[in-house]
Amino acid sequence: MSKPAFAWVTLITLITLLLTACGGAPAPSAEAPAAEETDATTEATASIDAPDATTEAPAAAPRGTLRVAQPIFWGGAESLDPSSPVAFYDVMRPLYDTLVVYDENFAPAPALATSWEANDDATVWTFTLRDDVVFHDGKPFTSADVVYTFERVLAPDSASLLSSILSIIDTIETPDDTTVVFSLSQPHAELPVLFIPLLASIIPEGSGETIGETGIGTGPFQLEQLDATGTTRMVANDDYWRGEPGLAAIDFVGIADADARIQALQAGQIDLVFALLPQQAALLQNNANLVVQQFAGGKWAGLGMRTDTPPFDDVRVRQAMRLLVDRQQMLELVQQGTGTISCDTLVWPGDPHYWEGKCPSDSEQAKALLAEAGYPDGLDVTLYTSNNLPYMLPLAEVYQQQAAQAGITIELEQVAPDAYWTEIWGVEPFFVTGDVQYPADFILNLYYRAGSPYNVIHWDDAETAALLDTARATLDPVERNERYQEVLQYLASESGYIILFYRDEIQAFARNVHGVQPIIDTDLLWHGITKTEE
Amino acid sequence: MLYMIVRRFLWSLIVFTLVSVVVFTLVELLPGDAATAYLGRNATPERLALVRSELGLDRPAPERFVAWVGGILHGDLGTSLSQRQPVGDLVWGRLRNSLLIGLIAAVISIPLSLLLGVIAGLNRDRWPDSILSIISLISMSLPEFVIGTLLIFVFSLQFGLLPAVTIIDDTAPLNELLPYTILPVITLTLIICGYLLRIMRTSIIDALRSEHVQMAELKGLPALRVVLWHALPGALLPAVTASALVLAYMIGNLVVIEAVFNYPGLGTLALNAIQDRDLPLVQAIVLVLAGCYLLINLLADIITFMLNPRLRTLRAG
Repeated sequence: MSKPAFAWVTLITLITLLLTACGGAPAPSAEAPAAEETDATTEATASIDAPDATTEAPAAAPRGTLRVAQPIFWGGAESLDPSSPVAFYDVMRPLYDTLVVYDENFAPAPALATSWEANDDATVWTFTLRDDVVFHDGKPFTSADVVYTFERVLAPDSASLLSSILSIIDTIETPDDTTVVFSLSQPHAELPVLFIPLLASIIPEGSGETIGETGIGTGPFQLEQLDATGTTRMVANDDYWRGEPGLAAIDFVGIADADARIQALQAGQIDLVFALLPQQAALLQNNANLVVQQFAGGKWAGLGMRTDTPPFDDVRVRQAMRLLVDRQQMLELVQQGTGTISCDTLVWPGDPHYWEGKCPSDSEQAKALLAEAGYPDGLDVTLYTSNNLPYMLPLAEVYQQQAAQAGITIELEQVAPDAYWTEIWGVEPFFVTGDVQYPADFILNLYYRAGSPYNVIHWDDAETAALLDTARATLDPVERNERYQEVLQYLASESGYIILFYRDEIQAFARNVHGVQPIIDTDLLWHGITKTEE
Repeated sequence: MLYMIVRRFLWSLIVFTLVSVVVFTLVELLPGDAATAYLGRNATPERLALVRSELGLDRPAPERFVAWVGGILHGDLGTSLSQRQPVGDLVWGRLRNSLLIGLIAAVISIPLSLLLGVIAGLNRDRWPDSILSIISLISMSLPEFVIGTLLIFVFSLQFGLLPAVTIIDDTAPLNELLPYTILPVITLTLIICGYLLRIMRTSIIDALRSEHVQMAELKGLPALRVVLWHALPGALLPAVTASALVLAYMIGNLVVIEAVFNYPGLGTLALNAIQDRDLPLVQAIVLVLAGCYLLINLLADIITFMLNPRLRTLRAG
């Protein structure tokens, strides 16, 4: 081959390359006009507007298969057992029912239980169950399944988070197939609320050994295949007690990388992605094929101080640490402003017992409190953080900077994510923490009650226990709410948590998907979701 | 040559042993174990003890290692600590998928980069060389995840020609998997070509300068014959060694590339296994990858052996 021949070969290669490159140019401009519609179509709602599935049931149109992108948390070890430490919560709401669900105001509403009532001092609760419900294997649902479910949760070897919270249950009795009676060791006026989280999903009697793989519940969809790193597939349960589900099937596709999930959505391979980061939502905002839904949620973030360890065993030090933070700036920097600031309360803004509070930063008062506590020259503390969750590192860095502006030096220690929850969280004196949304009475008893596994600040305070018990025992709803406000206010000034903000929930889905309610995905009611032809 | 292969095989056994000892020790040294990874926030001392005894983690590390080696010698790779399934079942399907993209990429990129390298070398410092050099430098200097993301942006999001990420099970039949392999293969090919092209170019330039090639040119042989018969064989030798190195290096890249495309290969499995402190699974994956590494090097040596007249005659004599 002569030299000119080589030149020709390279020239042709080059032209091909250039053509490919030029082909890319017109595409963005073609999309530009469509982007203008987005404002009108983006459903940015903060209110809950749950559609009634029974009235929205699709007519003769063929039902679609919804493809949901799913992060991978346990590398394939995911279990469908609601009590498992590696529970696959994200796919459980379609499979199982709970006795109680939220209504649009986040008050308890009937599900498998049609009604409930307490005796005069709220120590005995009687739940009436639906009589027309069958499990996916054809077995009818009865009170025996409820007893089995909760006795399993309460068993000594149970790994369920509910077990410490429901330990007030003394006995569970079943006068007949549709009645369950819970007798409590102390009054609890909001027992039904504790039955809302997925942890309280009802499983068939005797299914404990197999439920992790079978996922047999009474929910709108039944499991076809469980593969957390591949595709977990479930098909419509046409005998569902609320009526036929709007979808023929749901595929939960495991995609470990957060950016890959977004790309799959943009490429139309996926219909729905939950729990987007604010920066990811910004990427999708102008995409005419997608709906981006953003609403106030209850996933919170903050810091924990061990109240049994110096220097945080002094309440003045804890108060000083709280006063150092500019929460609005923290929210802007860590979450790009997508969220609500929290004044050291774990009860989120949507909860009926939410307490707003005021918490401006005041470095002068903080320094005065520290001086009073015996630290006139500031403290020598180390704040532990990790990158288990996206906000953990930036949150610690912003806190360090804000403290530095007040003249307080904080050492940052970033540890490997691997053993953070076992070796740092609740072990070191000062650490970053955060969790998902739970009902008020649930989360308060989980995080503040002495002896609870999540009481990572080692808060052992008789006053808190008394206030929590009084609040639970108060039967009048208005008065009870006042009692909860009292607990929250007390904890906000005394306890060892610095709760900084609640993150907004952001989810995005294809335009032909309908009925995705603006509520957190683990509480989403799936039977009303539909997917029309493109 | 048989002697060399036998010797290599014995060496591999030593390498395998060392690799497993090192990997076992490293995973043991990492904070946490399979029990803390499994229990996460729900870990209490009692539950940790229970899970550890269930998984056999309560036995001392050396004892566990010896038991694992015993299993390997019987062909038993052990049971995954996180998924509680035989490790072999988890590894083989994934290995097939990784081999699929690795082999396709190697088959495309090695001849392609050799050809382009020769073109660049023959046109040294002229525009074909400059253009190829720029392209190869770009593909070498961009991290693989950037290349992957760019390809997704162009081919999936702009043109909608190819799927962005893999949304198919790891046991899917090959024909269903194929569309998903295209972008990972292109990414791998770009990376391999970047390196190999540069090496081939330099080799050809060196070879063209050598005395026997100049002699051939002076004798008035046609240019094509000079390149194919006199310059290329000598220039291929360093390229074969370099190909082996680049392919071996590619094994490491697979982890990142598979993550970008959500491709169900050994790389993504390895990531999960390390996160879960799943020692038997990590060990099996590392052994398989080490095996690929050794195999690639062995192949390279055999090819070098056949290409190099001096080595051939040495053995014959």
